[in-house]
Amino acid sequence: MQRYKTYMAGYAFLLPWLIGFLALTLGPIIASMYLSFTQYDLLTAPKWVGLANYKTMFTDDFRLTDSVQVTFKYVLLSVPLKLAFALLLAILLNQGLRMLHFYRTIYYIPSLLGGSVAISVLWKQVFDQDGLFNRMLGVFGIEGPAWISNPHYAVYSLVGLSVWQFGSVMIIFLAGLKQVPQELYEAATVDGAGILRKFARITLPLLTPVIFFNLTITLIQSFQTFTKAFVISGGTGGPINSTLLYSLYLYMKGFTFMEMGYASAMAWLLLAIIAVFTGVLFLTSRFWVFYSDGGK
Amino acid sequence: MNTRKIVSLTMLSSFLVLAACGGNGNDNSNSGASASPSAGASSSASASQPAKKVELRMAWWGSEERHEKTLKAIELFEQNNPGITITGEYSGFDGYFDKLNTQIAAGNAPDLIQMGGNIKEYAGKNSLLDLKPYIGQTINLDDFTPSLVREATVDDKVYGVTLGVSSSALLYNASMFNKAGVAVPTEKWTYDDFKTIVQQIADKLGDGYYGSYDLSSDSATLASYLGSVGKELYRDGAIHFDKQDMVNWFTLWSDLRKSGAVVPAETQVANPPTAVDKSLIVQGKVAIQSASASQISGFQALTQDQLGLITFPNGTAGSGMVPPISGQFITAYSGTKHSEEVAKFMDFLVNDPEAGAILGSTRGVPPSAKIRDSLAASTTATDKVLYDYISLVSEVAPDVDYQQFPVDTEFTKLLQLTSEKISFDVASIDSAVDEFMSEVNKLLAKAQ
Amino acid sequence: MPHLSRIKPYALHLLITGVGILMLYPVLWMIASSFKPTTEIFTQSGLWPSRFTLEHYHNGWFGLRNIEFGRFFVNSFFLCVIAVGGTVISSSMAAFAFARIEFPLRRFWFALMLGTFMLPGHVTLIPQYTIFHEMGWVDTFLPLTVPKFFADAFYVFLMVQFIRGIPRELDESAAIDGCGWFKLYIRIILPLALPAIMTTAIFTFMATWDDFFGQLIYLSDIKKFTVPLGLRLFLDSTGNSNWGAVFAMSVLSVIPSFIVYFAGQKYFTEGIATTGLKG
Repeated sequence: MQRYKTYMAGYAFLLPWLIGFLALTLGPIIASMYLSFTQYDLLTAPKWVGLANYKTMFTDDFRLTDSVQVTFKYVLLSVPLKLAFALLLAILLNQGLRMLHFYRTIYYIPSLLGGSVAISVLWKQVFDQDGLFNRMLGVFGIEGPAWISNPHYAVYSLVGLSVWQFGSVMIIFLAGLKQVPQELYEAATVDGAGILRKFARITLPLLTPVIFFNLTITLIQSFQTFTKAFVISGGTGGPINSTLLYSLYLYMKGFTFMEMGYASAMAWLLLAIIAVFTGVLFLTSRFWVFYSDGGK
Repeated sequence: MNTRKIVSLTMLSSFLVLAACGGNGNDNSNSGASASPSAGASSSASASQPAKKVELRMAWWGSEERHEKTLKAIELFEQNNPGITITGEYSGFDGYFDKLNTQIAAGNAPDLIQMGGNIKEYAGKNSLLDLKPYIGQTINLDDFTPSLVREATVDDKVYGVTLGVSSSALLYNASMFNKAGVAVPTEKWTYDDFKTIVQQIADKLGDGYYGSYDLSSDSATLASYLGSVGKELYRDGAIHFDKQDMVNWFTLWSDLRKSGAVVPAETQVANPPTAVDKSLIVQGKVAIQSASASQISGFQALTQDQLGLITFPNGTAGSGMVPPISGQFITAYSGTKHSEEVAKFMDFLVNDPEAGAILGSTRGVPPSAKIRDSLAASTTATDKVLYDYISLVSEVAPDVDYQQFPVDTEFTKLLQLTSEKISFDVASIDSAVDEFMSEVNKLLAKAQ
Repeated sequence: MPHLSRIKPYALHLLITGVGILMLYPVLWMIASSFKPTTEIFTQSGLWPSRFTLEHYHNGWFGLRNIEFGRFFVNSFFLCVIAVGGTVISSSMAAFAFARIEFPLRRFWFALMLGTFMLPGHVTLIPQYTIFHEMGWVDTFLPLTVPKFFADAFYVFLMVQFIRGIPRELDESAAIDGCGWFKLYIRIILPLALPAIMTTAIFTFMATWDDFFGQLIYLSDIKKFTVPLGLRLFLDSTGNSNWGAVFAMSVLSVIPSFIVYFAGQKYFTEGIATTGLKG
């Protein structure tokens, strides 16, 4: 009896999400699955083509190959860099410095501009050939390339933009740092532990749930990054497909070339790729993520 | 089986779930409570109108100058036609076609839709209304150049009415010509003149200044070039040029790039000429770029330098200019319930003298000769450059019936990719052109 | 908390300020541009305008026919308030269920929830629009507000991670006190997860404030337009754009997010009195 009451309570709390899932999310997901087996130009009814879209994807689409490569490069570079940068700054900004409010706000401003129409113009100011970044490198005697516009480097400017907007990840880290009970540090200090030891033994383990969250979410979001590439390249994914992130190509196929069936098939391939990565993360998490609730 | 059916079915089943859950009435169902405040606010926001009237929706993109003028024209029409109201659904260009595609797919598109050069991607797919029955009745196109009507015609059905005439053009920065002491070209110039001029400007003005953008990626310039050597980009389901033409084309630009006369690859990508705010012509660093003629006012607004328009250079077979084309159309959604009123408003937009005076050249040069003449007196300096240029193109362009490449967006992207592979030295001209030709054939197959 | 006390505070301030300026330069450029005459915005590379002008602010605010820009702010605020309320309530409920209550299929639903998060939105857009169209909700605020009450995978996952950081002994002591699940959720979990809740609230506010595409697709009537849509009314990449007004209104549009963040940050960075609640 008690057990059923608990079940009831679980579903009661889950109810809002369940309703939304069944009413608004499930239908469109099934529809997109169906569309992936069709040829659909948005204007006329979809035509069933079986596995043709999937076959083309794997055998005859050089843009898709380019775009998968670019996306992997972007994800593998930007995720660790962004997380490391955000964690470092969160720790730095969590020190007992004066004017912390002010600094935390300053550092968040780039993330506030995320959806701003001005971002592409702004970004060019930083990463153009004679932009701010190269002028800074110039101080150290390094001559930087045109980051945005050179096909060999353009993906790095995307990575740069992603790291630049590290604000939300940093905030989640800051919130996580605040959850670490203060008396643990006090006890450790009594035991004579130094800064690094306290960080390694207390901060890091207690932060693992938040690190795990940030890692998983940043990974998923990076695979789906669209706006940055769209804005930086003016919607082209150029030069020479060097910023053609997967979602940008998917959008191009679906809405610009009006091949929504093909785009849907691409979406399901992406889902499979992300699911594999996330699945691996979840499987390994039991070895390195520590929950205070005992890990149930 | 169509998607909408599937979606509705899923939706229906979900509603059953919703209803079942709502029946329990427990304290966790905050979903029901949530709907009411927003519902109240939205119903108060939308004005309630009497049911008898005909209500039309019209979608267009633009910036606030075009919004202002179009709304004024609509207000005038509503005054003259009591019983018809037109709601403007206007926005910037970003996302305009994404929204339109979504609306068409869901069967909810506006009655009147502003379209650009991509009209043929929509025509013949049951989404636009055939206007033929109204032409000569409600819609008077007597004053239009026949080619403007042909542009919107597919399989003997007419899908749009031209709102503004434009033409492909070379946009130049006259102040830079002056500074370099080089005479501004005339419509008689040739590709040899072009090479000399851009080289002179680049040499005279020095480092960081260029005679022209690299136009090898520009399909309008390519089309004109092919015409000027007696070939054609596209006609009746086939291309009418060969590999050698493309090799010549890319070699022309490659040579100019090597001699520093045109913008190098990296600078071109960082400052694409297609983006008005990034174009180096505005900054006085590049003297020539390709543009649609009606864009001149957008460029001119951002700089104090004097800008001008000139036709593409001539080749061995003379001018390859394409006659002036429709920059924008007004089209009707095939699902409209008020096609007669829609047609009436279309006619008003292009033929009413008062509407013409209000709208000016916000969508390009007015297609009706009468309106154009009545406006000539009151045009701004920039408008006058545009009007003169359109007349010039009408004179010099050979009398051919221009046909656009059918999947134009994809063709443009392919041309740009090929051009970048060459300019960034990723591929040789020969191998890049080979790939280009085989991809073009794939596009032709897709368009069939 | 370990303090880097051995490094001179001055050096630290200098480093933080230096990096901060680098990150802020583009923002300063945007603010400067909003005061420049239009012909100088893209032709002068320096920050300082040759002549200060306020006309862009005037044109941006009053320049649209039959509507003032302020209306877009009101609409955006309205959407944000509802979105924040809905997301916080529904997501924290779901997170509580996943993190604390044992029930059948719990892992299955959690995996499914994350799965929905992995499918790119572009391909579900049209079916979703169709649903809202059939319900007659297009061109109302409903498609942009009601879904917020159905929990968001991102925030549910976030809060699950935080709630799992709260020791279970608290639940047990509460259970002994005769607390039901609902009381446990309200009295213990919500206050202890406040940093995560404030993070959720602030992120939701900003995401809603910035959302362009969703609002563009569902709103057509200019009177219902929001700030991101209002900004783009000045932007026509195919022709004329009023860049001055775009920059001026962009500057104004960042201010509310800035205030919300500045006011909210102390709740998730200033240390919640978690210790006091223990024992």
